[in-house]
Amino acid sequence: MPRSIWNGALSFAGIDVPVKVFGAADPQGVQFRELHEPDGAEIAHELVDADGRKVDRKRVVKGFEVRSGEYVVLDDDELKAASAPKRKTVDIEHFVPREQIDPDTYDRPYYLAPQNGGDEAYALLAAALRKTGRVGVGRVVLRSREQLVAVVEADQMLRMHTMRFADDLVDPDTLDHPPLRRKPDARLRKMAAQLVDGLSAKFQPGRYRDTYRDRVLDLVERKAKGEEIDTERAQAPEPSDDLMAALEASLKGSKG
Amino acid sequence: MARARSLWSGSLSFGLVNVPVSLVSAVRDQAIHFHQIHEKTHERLHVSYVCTKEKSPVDYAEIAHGFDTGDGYVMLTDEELAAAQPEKTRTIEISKFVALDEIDPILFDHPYYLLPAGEGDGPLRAYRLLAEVMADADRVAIGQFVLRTKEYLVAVRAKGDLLALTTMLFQQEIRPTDELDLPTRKRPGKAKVDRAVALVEALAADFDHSAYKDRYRSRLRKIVKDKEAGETIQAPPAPKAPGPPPDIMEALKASLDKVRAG
Repeated sequence: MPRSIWNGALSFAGIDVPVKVFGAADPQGVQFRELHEPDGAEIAHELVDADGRKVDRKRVVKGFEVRSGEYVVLDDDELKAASAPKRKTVDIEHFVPREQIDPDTYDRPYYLAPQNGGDEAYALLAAALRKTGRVGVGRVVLRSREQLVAVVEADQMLRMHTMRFADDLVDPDTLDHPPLRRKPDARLRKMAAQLVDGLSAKFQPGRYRDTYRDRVLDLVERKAKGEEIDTERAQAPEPSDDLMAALEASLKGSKG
Repeated sequence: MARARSLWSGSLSFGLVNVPVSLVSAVRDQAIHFHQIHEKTHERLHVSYVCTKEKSPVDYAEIAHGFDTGDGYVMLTDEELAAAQPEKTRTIEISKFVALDEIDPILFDHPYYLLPAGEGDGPLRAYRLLAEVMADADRVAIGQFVLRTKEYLVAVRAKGDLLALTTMLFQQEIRPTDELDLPTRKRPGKAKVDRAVALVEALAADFDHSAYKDRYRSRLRKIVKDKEAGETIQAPPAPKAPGPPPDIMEALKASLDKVRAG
């Protein structure tokens, strides 16, 4: 049994559903330690002052800059006052149609499991969310910080996603890029649409594998044996200047 | 316009069409920043990367990746690491086009935008073509690529004029649920489900994302202000964990009456 990161209750319209929260994501990237390349020694992260002198961690406090170079110090207990819930609950404010939530809003996924005799209420909420196609949107204090969350049903289970606030997301109009002036003509569009159509399929997430991880581990093994690693980097493919020719060739290729 | 920091640049490829792109985050850092400062002098401190052998700061460019074998480190440089699978570090290869609602949000990792990076007319037209055709077909492109030291599954979709990219975890990186203590799959009775549905519908609303404000951020600002004014900030008491409702049917009925009356 994995360890829960939070225990409390889902709360909506005066009903409490006692739950435990578990992390759902378990990224499997290869972990590295920072080393100093010339001598292979470990790198330490030290806090230093402007003169480069090391400062003992015991002498370090958290400061919020109120004016340039002027700080107000807050300790951890004072920080907690910024999100002081009276009850340990996920307070669901609304139930919204699932499809109205932009994917960019979702941050981290968690599993919810019932506890303290909450089984029936848990199953009822899951059934109701499934039937209505809705998602509970609410707030909870996780790790001393109030978060916006979505409570969703999947496979008769409840999950919780932390969500980004609207103003945490970049407005694409503020991004600088070369202007996309020329409209592609009808023939190009038709060919590209055929290509998209030809590669269309149902999404089957289990089919995709991380092959890079194994290659990195293989590289580690070869390096450990003293093998020389060829570092000639592959170049990005040439940009397609003749779009029509590239599309034609692609379509021929996909028809096999 | 602010030039967003490019986190990666390379090629987005579908079929034999290659579109040069650069990757920027779709998330703004809005956090109120605290800095590590010296308790006495209030001087701002900085992190220094120090070699534990030489006992002196090192240049960031001299930092390599050490894999812990349990019996010392095997060291790889940035260049060697990039050689593990060079094509995946330079190219996002689109393998399929799928419907967005088929993707379980549990896989989502981080949102980005892919900005057009080519100079010529061809690459810019190819970028726009891909965005328009995906929007028309209501399809999302699925591909894979390596960002920093990890491979991701990605979903690329049209968002306005631009292409948005979301990194995703692989299915194998999602924890199985069979270790969780889930309720027995006994179906709840219809009458109870109907009442729960009625309650969910009583609290139904459209999702108005911008109506939700980050209250933590504004409270934190106020606390900083109060502290600066010399006020004492009280640590809050620990929150109480509520118990289960005594009778779920009664509780549903009572809540429903209350919500409808309110």
